[in-house]
Amino acid sequence: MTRFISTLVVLCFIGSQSLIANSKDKLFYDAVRAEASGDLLTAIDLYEGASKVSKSSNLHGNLANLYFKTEKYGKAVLNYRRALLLDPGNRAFQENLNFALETAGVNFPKTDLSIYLNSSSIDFWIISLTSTFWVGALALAFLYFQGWNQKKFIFPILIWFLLLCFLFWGAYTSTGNKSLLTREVIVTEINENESNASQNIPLRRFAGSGSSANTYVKPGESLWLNLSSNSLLQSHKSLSGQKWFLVQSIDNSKKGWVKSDAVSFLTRSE
Amino acid sequence: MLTASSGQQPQVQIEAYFEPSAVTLSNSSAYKIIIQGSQNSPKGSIPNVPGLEISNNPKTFRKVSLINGVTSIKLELSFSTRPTQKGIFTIPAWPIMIDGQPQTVPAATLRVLAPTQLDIENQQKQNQQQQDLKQAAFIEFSMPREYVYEGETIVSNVGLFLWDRMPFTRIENAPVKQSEAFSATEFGQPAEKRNVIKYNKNYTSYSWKIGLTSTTSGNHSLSYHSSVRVRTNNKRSTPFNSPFFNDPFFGFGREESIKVSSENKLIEVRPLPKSGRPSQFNGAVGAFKIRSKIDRDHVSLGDPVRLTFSISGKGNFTSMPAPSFEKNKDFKIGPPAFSFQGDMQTKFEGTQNFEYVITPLTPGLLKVPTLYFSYFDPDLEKYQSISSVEHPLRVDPGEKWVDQGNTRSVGEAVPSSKRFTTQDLFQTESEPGVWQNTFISSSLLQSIAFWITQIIPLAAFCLLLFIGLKKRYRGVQSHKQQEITFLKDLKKYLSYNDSKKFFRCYRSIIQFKVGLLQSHPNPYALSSDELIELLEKANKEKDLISKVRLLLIKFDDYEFAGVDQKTLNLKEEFRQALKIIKKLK
Repeated sequence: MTRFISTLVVLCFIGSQSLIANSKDKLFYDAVRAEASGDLLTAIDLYEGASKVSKSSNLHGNLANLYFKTEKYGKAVLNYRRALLLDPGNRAFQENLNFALETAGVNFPKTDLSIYLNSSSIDFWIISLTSTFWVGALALAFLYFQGWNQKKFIFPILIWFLLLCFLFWGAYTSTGNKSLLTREVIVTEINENESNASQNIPLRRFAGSGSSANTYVKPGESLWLNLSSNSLLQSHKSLSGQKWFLVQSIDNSKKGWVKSDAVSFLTRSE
Repeated sequence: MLTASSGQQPQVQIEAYFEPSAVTLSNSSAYKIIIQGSQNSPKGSIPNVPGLEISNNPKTFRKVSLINGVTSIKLELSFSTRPTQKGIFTIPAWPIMIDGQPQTVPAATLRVLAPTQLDIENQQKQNQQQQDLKQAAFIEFSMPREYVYEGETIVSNVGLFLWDRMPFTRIENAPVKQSEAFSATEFGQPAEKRNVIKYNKNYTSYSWKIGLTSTTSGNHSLSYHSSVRVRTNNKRSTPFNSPFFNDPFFGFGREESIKVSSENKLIEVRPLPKSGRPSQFNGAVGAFKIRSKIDRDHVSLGDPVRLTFSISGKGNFTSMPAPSFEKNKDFKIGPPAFSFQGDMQTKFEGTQNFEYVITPLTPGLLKVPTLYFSYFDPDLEKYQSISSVEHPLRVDPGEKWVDQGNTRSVGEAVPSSKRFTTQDLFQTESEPGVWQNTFISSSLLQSIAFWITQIIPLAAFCLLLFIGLKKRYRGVQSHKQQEITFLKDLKKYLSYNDSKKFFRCYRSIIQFKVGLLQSHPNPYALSSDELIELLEKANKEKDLISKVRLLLIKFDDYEFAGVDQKTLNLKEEFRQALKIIKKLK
C-alpha cells in the first residue's frame, strides 16, 4: 500500500513537472509567434505568463525587447537586468541594458570591481577562502611537526593570515551585495489611468498619496528597500489596501515612500 | 601372454597382453601393461591400430611385496579396448620411458570374433534406449542460411519438442541462447502445436520466433538450452535412467527438472566488405526503402517543423542508428525521436521512423536538408545508398515591426538630439534556453555537499595533529626518561663515592641538556669548546656559561690529569649539579 502511494505521488510529481514544462514552452513559443506576427501586447502577456512558471534568460531578454519597443523603459531595464542575472556573460543583454538606460535617461553607475564582488562570485570567494585556509593549516601543521623553527613560521603565517583576511573580505562583500540585490527594486511605469504627464515617480515623505514628494525617480532607476531595526523590509499598508515601501538610492541621495505597484523587485517575480 | 625384459635395465621387466585375448565384436577387452621393478608412471604413447579403439584413461594398480627378503614392485596399467571390426589385431612393440630410462613394451595380440546373436540384440537395445532418450525432449532451431553477415538480423524459429508419452508438467524457462556472438530478441509467448509427428513419435511443440543478430565475425557455434519439469515416481531413479519402463503416468510421484538442449550448430559470420563502403554507412544490414515527409511546408520564423524519416523493409532494425544531417546554417535540428512499427517480436520486418524537429533560422524559401542512408544488402552482397527527397519550406518572417520612434511622446526621457532605433536591439530568440527556478542561484554555504566536503580536510588536519602530537610526546617522554636515568646514575655514583664515574655522568648530562637546547643530532660527541659555543648561541646567562666552563675543566682534570680526589666533596658537587641542570632547561 505504501509503495503504491509513494509510486502515485512520484507519478503525480513527474506528471505535474511535465505539464509545467510543456506549459512554459508552449507559452514561450506562442509568444514568439505572436511577436513575429506583430501582436506585441499579446506576446508580452504570454511571456509574462511563462515567467510566472519559470525563468530563462532568453525569455526575459525577449520580454525586455518588447517592453522597450512599447516604450516601457522601466520594465525593459528590469527584464534586461533579470536576463543578465540568469546569463551574466551575455554581451548582447549588457549592450541592450546600456541602450535602454541611456534611452530612459538613467545613470547606472557600475565599477569594474563590482564584477568580482557581485552575487555570482560568492562561490568563487568561498571556495578560495576554504581552500586557502585548509591548505595553509595543513602545510603549517606539517612543517611544525617536521621540526621547523618557530621563527621561520612568522612570515608564512603572516602571508597566510593576510590572504585569508582578503578572501574573507571578498566573500563577505559578495554576500552583502547578494543581500543588497534581494532588496533592489526597479522603478517601473505607473498605471496608464493615473495621470502623470512626466512619467516620473514621486518618493513621498509619508506613506500616502496625499503626502508631498521628496524627490522624483525615473522608470528604470534602481532603488533599495530600507531595512528596519529588526532587519525586516520597511513597508506600510494603508487603509485602502495600498502597500508602500520605504526606499532609497544607493548613495542615499534620494529617499522616500513609494507605492508597491510602481516598483518591481529585481529578484522576485510578482 | 608375451614377456619381455630390457637388456639395458635388467631390474625392470615389462609385460603386455589382452585380457581376454579373444572377444566377440560387440564386447571389449583390456590391454594390460605390467611393469615390474618400478612404481613411477611411465611416459609413452600406444601405437594406433586400425580396428581397435583404445581408451586414453587407464586403470592403474600398484603393488609392493616382500618375498624371501626381496622387495618386489609392480605397476599395472589397464586400457579398455573396443574392437570395431573382426580379425586378429596386434599392437606392435613400442618404446616407453620408465624412470628416465628407455624401455620397450612387447607386442600383444587380440583376436576379435564375429558377434553372437545375443551381442547383436543387446547392442540394438542399447542403441534404441539412447535414441529414445535423445528423442524424448529436444530443441530444434532453423537458420535461413548457413552463413550470416556481421550485424545482420535473421529470423530464427526455435522449437521445443516434448514427447507426449513423457509426463511433462511445465516448461521452466524459454530456451536460452548459448553464444556470445549473437544477440537475440526476447522470447515471448510460444506458439503451441499438438500431435506433431517426428521420429515416428507424437510430440507437442512450442515454437518461438526470434530475431537473431550476429555481433562478431568468425565461425561461431550456436545452441539453445531449456529446462522442463517432469513427474517421476518415487523410486530413486530419474525418468531418464529408466524413462519408459517405469510407470511415469500415474501415481503420486515427484517433479524433477531436466535440461533440454539443441544440437550445436556452427555458423559462419562473414565480415562486411570494406571495399565500396559508403561514408554514410552506419551499420544497417538488410533491404530497405526510405520515405520522408514534413508536417508543414509554410511556417513562420521560429516555428518548429517535424520531419519524419521512415526506413521500411527487412533488416537489423534493433541496431540501426539514426541517420544524421550534414551541418546546415538555415536550420536548427534537434535529436530525433525513434518509433518502430511492424513485427515487434523479431523487429526484423517493419518501419523505423525517426522524427526530427527542425527550426528554420532564416526566412525565405528554404530546402529541408537531405538525409542520406546507406545499408548493406546481404542478398545482393553489396552496399546501397539512398537519399530523401528535398522538401521545400516557405518560412515567413512575420509582420515587420515598425519603428515608432517618431511618434514617441516621452520627450523627457530621450534627449531630442539623440534618436535610437530598435535595430540595435538583440535578435529575438526563438528558443527559451535553459529554464531556471530563481534569478539568483543559492550560495555554496547552503549546500550540504559543501559542508560534507569540509570534513575531508578537517579529518586530514586532525589526523596530522594527532600523529604529530603523538610523535612529539613520545620524543619528550624519551628525553625525560633519559634525564631521569642520568640523575639516578649520578645519585648511584654519589652513594658509591665514585668520583670518576660521577663526573663522567655529570658531563654526559650537560652534553645531553646542551644538545637538546640546540637540537644537536649527536650531543655526546660534543667537545667542551663546542658545548660552550652552543650555550653562547642559545643566549644563556654568562654566569651559567662560566660555571659550565669551570665544570668542564674540572671534569677533564679528574678524568685525565689525575687530580687528588680526597679533598672532593661529592655531595656538594651533586647539589651544584642539580642547580646547573635546572638552569640548562
